[in-house]
Amino acid sequence: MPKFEVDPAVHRGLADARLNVEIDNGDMILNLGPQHPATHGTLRLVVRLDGERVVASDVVIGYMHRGYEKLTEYRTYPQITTLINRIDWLSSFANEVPFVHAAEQLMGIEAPPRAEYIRTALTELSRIATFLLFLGEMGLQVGAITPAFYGFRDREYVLNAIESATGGRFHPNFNRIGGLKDDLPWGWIAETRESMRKVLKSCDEFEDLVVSNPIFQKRTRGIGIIPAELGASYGVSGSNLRASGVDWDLRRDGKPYLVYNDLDWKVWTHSDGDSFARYWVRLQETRESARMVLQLLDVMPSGPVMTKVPKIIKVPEGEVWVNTENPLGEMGYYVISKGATGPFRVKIRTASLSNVSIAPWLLRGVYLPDIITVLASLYFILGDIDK
Amino acid sequence: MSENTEVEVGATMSPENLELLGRVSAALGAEAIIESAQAVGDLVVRVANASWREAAKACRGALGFNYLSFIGGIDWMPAPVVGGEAGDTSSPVQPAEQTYGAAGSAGRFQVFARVASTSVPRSGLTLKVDLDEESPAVDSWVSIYPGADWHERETWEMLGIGFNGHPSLRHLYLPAEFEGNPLRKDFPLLAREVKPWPGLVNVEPMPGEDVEEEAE
Amino acid sequence: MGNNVSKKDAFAKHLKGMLGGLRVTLRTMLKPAVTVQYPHEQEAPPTRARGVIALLEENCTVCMLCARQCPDWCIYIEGHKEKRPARREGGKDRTVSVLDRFDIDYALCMYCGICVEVCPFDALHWSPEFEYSESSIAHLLHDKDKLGEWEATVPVAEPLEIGAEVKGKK
Repeated sequence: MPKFEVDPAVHRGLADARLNVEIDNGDMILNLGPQHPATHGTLRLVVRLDGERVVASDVVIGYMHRGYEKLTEYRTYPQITTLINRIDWLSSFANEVPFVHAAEQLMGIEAPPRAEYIRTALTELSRIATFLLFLGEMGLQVGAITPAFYGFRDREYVLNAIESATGGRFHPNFNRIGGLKDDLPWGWIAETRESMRKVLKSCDEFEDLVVSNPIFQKRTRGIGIIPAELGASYGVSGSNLRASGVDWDLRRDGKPYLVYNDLDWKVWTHSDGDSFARYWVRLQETRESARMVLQLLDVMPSGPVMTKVPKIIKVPEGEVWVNTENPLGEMGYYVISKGATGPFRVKIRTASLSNVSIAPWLLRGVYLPDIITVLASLYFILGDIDK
Repeated sequence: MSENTEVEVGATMSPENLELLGRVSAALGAEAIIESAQAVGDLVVRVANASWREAAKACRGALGFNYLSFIGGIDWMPAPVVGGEAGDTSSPVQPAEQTYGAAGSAGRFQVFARVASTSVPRSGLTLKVDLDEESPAVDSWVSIYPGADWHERETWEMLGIGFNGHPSLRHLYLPAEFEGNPLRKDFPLLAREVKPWPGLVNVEPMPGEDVEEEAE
Repeated sequence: MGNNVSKKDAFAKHLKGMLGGLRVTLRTMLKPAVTVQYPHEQEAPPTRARGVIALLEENCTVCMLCARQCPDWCIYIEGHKEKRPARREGGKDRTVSVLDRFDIDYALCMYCGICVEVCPFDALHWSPEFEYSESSIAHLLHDKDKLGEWEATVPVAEPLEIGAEVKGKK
């Protein structure tokens, strides 16, 4: 029992009136963030510690809230694609796809097959880029700096491929309603094939460097376990849920989109549900995505990449829900159109918001140094939480 | 309340959605469902305000929708035309009359949610609920889907919709002292108000010449 | 006894895990570095890179389409009308719009490329140049002379990948 006197009112002031971390004894309040390398942006975490164990925690978000749902109401459909690829800036291309599909479904048009194949390839490339950063950066969170460098190095190959096709490393804005802005540049397929071989090799490196490392295993195994059923009711999705043994991937189990049904691939799951499982699942998914891209490059059909669309795009009245398996989890747009050049209401369902909302539950009873590894293994992007 | 239009809607519904609708009304009671519709392949069911929590229980229980995708709100008020008199045509012009989307609405505000099952492929259900226009509020889902917590806080601060039984309705994204509900249609977007639109035609005519109507 | 063996096994497993990692780092150490020492060495960005927007002034007809479609409201255009002699002998004098001001505020620009795409007269182009950072935000407003200078850096469009549809006009 601590000897010093603690004035609860003072502590409550420290912890901010918005937080519900209640102070009733001499527990320590620790403020993490808003600036912290593990937060991929500005996430603030207020934890109440009993010794080294977390008793309660509260997540403060909104430091990067940009009001995308409001902004979409003031923009036309073509203007929105460039806006929404800033939601999750690590996998921007994947953000554009569901929105463009939503508009296409309401208009009753379909992109040509070649466009869908290129979209799939670029979506998988952005998944690889996102996961490579995670694979390296997760090592950094347990104190190993080398994997971070490797992750950044290998991600460059993928970003180069994305940039040479779309013109933007992080914000491709390559999707158009009805297809793509342009076809691929000469030599892209051969270069990307080479990059994918490098990615597959680097996945083996991560296996040797991180996964089989005994220190990494000690720091992540059995820590931060998400029970499958609880995770689902929190809305946790994507690799986080698959790491808890839920065999659910919207690329296979959602409404069919892109060309995933034409590919030979499998959904990886892990039964443990801990930080290690989340790392392991993402490592396997990176490999799987690289294999998918290689398949796509082999069977890329020829033809146009843009279907005929009116010059001024007006989307007929109606509403549609389109959700896709983004690198971070389920991303969806509920688009309500009233027949104008812009949407009436767009509800954006981002993966990270639901993934992180389980954090207060997940961090209960965790040791202080493990907060960082648990958060890092959930893998969120603040832009994806704050919208 | 509008009358039940299931019969006419049913004719345009896919067999899977009809089957799902049958299960929903069996689990929830037919009187709790005000209207149902199909929106591009997805079933949208509008339930009575009093049955909102029951609907969640039925979804999580009998219907097997163990996964909460999102909860959000809609303000159906027609969007005010921004800067129209100044010739600013930058933002899309929405219809001036108040119309409602799939499955209709009784008033300006609605809460809608999407649930799915992680064990059944291509499963999912969109639920909508009508709210009182003066003091919009509905029962909270937090006790059934714990993930509803943040979504309901977001809907509360963005649209001013109350959630009865929510453990702590606090600001999620916005600072604690923020006033107003940004996603309501009558909340202006300041970025579009403080600056004139640079898209206005700014070509000086020839001296003595009438300003021609600019055609695009 | 059994306990001893498993401890030994665990140690061997740990050692193997460590050595596996060290082998990876050692192999990487022997390879040449991939980093580019930026200000001294440079990598050329791809042809399509959206670096900066260049303006070909004589093509611009002050139609305002780019300024209207810009989602960020970052293009400012002013112009006036002028009489020009007719193209053909004996024809009527033409009235043309002449550009007075064409500013792009790169502090606001999102680099979406909508202005380049909507331009019906091919006056705006993407250039991969990226070295125009400024110490003051106000200097990021590029006027038409500055935008015109970028025109020299606009690359020739590259050929498309096998299987791409050969485009007709437009």
